[in-house]
Amino acid sequence: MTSTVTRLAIDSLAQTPGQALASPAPALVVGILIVVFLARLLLEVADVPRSRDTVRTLDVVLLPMFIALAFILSTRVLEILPLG
Amino acid sequence: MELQSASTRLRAFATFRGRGSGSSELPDRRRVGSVDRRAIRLVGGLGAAFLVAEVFTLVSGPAVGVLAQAVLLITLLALSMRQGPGSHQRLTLALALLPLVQILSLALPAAIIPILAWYLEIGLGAFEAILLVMRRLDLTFRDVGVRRAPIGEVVAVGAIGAFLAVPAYLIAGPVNLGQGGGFVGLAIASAIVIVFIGVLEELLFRGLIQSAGTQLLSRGGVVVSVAATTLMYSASLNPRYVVFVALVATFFGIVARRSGSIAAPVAGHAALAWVQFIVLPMILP
Repeated sequence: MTSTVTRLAIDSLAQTPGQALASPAPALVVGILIVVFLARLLLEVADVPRSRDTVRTLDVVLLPMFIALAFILSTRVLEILPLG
Repeated sequence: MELQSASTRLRAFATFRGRGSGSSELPDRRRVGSVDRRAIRLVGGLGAAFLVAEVFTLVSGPAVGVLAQAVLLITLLALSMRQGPGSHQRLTLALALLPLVQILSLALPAAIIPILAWYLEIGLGAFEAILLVMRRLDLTFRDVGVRRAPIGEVVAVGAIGAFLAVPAYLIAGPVNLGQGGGFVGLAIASAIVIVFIGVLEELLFRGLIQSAGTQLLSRGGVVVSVAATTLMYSASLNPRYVVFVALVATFFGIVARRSGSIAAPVAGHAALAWVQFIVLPMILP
């Protein structure tokens, strides 16, 4: 095991598409992404000191989360397709 | 032009080895030996916060873990923005990558895709986050130890890494990565393991976190990187493996500090991961 793929994740995997859809961890990631994205949009239009630095700091979270969102959505599609 | 280039190289090397300008930001009266008290307080506070978030993750599972890591991540980002430019901000922002990687590790794995693809998914996000932190802090690759190292040292550490894979395999046991068969499947699996374990983890732990810790705490930078590695590996739920990882991380940290480069630790870590996850499962039952 490594620092990224851990026994904790393997032991708590959803075993069916239904369980995967109801899984709270990916939903929380989407929630965090929405909150950070809204904060970034507000900061961009706000004319406050150091807003550019703050936007660049938020990008550290935002862009990897977008990658995560793409993988979460593609996995959900892969899980649902065989059911159809 | 040549002189300027040499000066830039020297500055990058000095920063990685802990003799950069960042460690002399505060007046002498606030320093204990070569380390200032504010830095010790910062590292102690962050360490306690990481420990609490990790305990929540290990005890309560992925959902509560993601929440705990998200709170920690937002706290670290807010703290880094409050600190302003300097070595404190560099360490805080570098450490903010740990909860981010933890969140990706808890949310992305799915039973329908092979474990090998998990490395790709989590690794791509983590690599992007590392590059964004470097952009935010105006760091070059040289600043995080991506520079040449003596070839003999790289080969020696690589060989030691390959040898260390045997105890790692015996302690952690076999892991089915789910790679395809044949030469192509083996080549893809090897590339993913080398890049998304060997390169990624050394760039994160030794490159970004240890260099930031070294700038703030001198030799304590190795301790910070070892603590970060150990904390992240604690989710393997195997105490013997965590102790083994801490010892290996100490070795890689000392090598990186002595050479001022992460080339040798990358070679060692990549060899360790490749032999542990690809070679030994084919040889041993």
